[in-house]
Amino acid sequence: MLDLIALLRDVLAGEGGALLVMVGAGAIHGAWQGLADRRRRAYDAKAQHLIVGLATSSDPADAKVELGSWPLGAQVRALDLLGRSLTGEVSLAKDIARHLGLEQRALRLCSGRSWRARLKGVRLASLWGGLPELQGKLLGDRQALVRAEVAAWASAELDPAFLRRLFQMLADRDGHSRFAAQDALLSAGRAIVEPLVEYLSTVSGEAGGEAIVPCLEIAAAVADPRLLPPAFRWCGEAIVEARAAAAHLVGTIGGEEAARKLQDLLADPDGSVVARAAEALGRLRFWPAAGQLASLLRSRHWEVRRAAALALRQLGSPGQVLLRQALRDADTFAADMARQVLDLPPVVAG
Amino acid sequence: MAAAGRLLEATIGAAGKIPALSSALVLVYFLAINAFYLILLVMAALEMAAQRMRAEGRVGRRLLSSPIAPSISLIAPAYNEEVTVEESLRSLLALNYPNLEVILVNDGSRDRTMEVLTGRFDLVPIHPIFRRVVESKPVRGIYRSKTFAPLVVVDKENGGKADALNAGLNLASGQLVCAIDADTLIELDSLLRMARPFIESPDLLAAGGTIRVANGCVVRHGRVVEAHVSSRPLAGFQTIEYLRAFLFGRLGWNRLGGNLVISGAFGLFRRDAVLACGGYQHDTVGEDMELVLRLRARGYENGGPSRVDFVPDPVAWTEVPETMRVLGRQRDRWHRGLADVMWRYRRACFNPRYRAMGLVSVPYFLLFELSAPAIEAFGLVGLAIGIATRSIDWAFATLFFALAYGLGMILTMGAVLLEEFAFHRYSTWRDRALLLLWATLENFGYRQLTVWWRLLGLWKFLRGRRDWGAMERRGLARSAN
Repeated sequence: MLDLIALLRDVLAGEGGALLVMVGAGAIHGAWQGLADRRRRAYDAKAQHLIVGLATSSDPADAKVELGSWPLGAQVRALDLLGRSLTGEVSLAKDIARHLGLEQRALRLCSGRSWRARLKGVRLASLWGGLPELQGKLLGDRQALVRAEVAAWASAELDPAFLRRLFQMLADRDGHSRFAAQDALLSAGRAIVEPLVEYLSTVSGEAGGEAIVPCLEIAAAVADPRLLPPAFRWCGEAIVEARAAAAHLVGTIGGEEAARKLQDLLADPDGSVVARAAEALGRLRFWPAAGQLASLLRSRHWEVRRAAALALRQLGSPGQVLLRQALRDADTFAADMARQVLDLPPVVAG
Repeated sequence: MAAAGRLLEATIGAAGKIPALSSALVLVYFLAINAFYLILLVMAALEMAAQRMRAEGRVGRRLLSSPIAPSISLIAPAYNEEVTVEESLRSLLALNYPNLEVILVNDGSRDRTMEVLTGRFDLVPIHPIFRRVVESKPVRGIYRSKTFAPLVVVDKENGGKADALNAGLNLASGQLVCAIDADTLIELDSLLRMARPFIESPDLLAAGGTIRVANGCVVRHGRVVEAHVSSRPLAGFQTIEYLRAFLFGRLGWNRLGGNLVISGAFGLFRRDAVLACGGYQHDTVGEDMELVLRLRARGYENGGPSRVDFVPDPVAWTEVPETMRVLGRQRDRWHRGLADVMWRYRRACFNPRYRAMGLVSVPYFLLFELSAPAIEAFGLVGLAIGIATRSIDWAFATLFFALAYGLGMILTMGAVLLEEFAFHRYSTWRDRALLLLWATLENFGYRQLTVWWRLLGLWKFLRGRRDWGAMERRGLARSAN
């Protein structure tokens, strides 16, 4: 027992020592953090002053000299602040980064063996729009976080090869990378229409895989008429989600031809595709489809009934007449959905 | 008489064995629980580093303005909140998130909550077409604000928190739903931080954020503008408990079989998954934990997703009880909830079908969370009997208790250090000193009290009690002063 007590005493002494070390570490970190916060606030204030100067004068020479004397962390934050404050001033940010040696540093980091170093490098280079010479290599990086950060360079760089890689990235295994690629493509705007048309016209369902639906969603956000032929192509493909997304795309582009295609899709075997087509026809106010929409009120799918009823309501008088008729429909589902939609106040539509 | 004497001797003899038995049991239990806690602490530190690495960078920032950010419906049940509802709702509506819908569910309040809402938010009745997928008490009316487009108010008959959340779930249109308490103070960027793991992992069912104690903080317009540690002991002890529970407990679980608990005050779920498993259960006081276990169990049983993570950087602040009576009721209810959920999902315990959840998480909660007060009490009773029968070795017992509490202090300091290194929210020396003070003092009385309250909860559960008990709040505006 005595030995056990001696052991307990030793362990207790060890615990006491560990606690002292922990308290000391907390205190030292607290003191250091307090000093670092004060320094950071001071440099941030100086950086804001510099940016105001850059925004009002065309010569960045003074700013470069001033920034050159700052510590690395403060330089990086100043550049970040510059990027956020002066939107579109990529060349100025790049020029300053080159002068400060940050571009070289980013290049070195991005070529490193450790993914953490590469991620640091990519994040640094994002401050001035990226490193075009390395973007192809980095988009294929093993580490998903690196790929995702590189995708964010797309808003500054619209190289067609880079955009094609981004389309492929929409099927990336990592959700972070998929999001970054989709977001980057969306922020690129109309510049992506031609590559998008080419991609959606040539890629097969098997090769495109999970990239197809996000691609069609991006296309719907752009809604350019040049995208209509590939949209028609995907309306006839076997993948249900792709047909539904294509129906939505066709509806956003609009026109007589598009409306006819949507009418065809009302006979699709899948409820989600029919619902998207019905929604689109309602948005286009394509009254010749009113009869078909009215018959969809008897669908066994709630989403289809709801979409058809709301579409009829959007058609105006012809739709309203059909909805009133549906109130007396022998099918209780149809009558109930018609009543719910007719109950809606004039302005608000669910 | 002789028989009575023999019986007395036998009883004393048996009682004399209790200290030895309880010492052995407590020793084994002590070693096992602390070894597990140390593993949790190490896992939490590794997970913290990994999460912080992911959270930085441009991609996270892009979420703020991205049209493809997943839509979120924030559901806030409110019952008799006429005094605080306006400020709470305004702070929710000001949260930074691009696709946000705020659904306030008035759960049959008997005060003027509905009048305040109608007047201050310019509500007009709407008649949306929605499906009642999960059961709830009848809805009296649904309203939309003319001045705040994302706001929807549901006025329904009283049915409790789970029922109110179900009514909100039926109406929600977001891909993700965030369940909160109406008086929870959510930090501006918390939803952005909380949505990030859902983008990264399509198989993530739910995520919980950090809950911190708002007592003692400076609160303005429904926001914590200065974080401080309360100088009142009860709130201070709970600040330490919350840091320990969230920063090393739940964070460590991300790497050890996944979380079983998402606080009802702040959690984000995939709406379709919650609806598919039937929403919140009405007949339990542990509805938050019950939902998480049901979601995960369903995933394992059907071969679907089953991941539930904790994300440390989204922060919500809550007011904790400052009276023994209310705190005791809360802890008693929490333990009854835990017992109820463990009983419902006993099939998962040590069942390889439920993988890490069945082999690690559920057994841990059963052995170290649910049974802890009973085992601690057994140890204390053994100690008392040992003193009475003079069969205890005082030197050993004193050293053992000092060792046990010392190890507890090390774990607590580990959580405090994680907070200091990763977040640095408590930035004054006074706050750090208070954290150290409460971390030391909680061992003398407070922890023993929580054992008592949890034992009561266990006892009440065994007797079939299912009520909530009332929560009284001092109000954050006052604690700010």
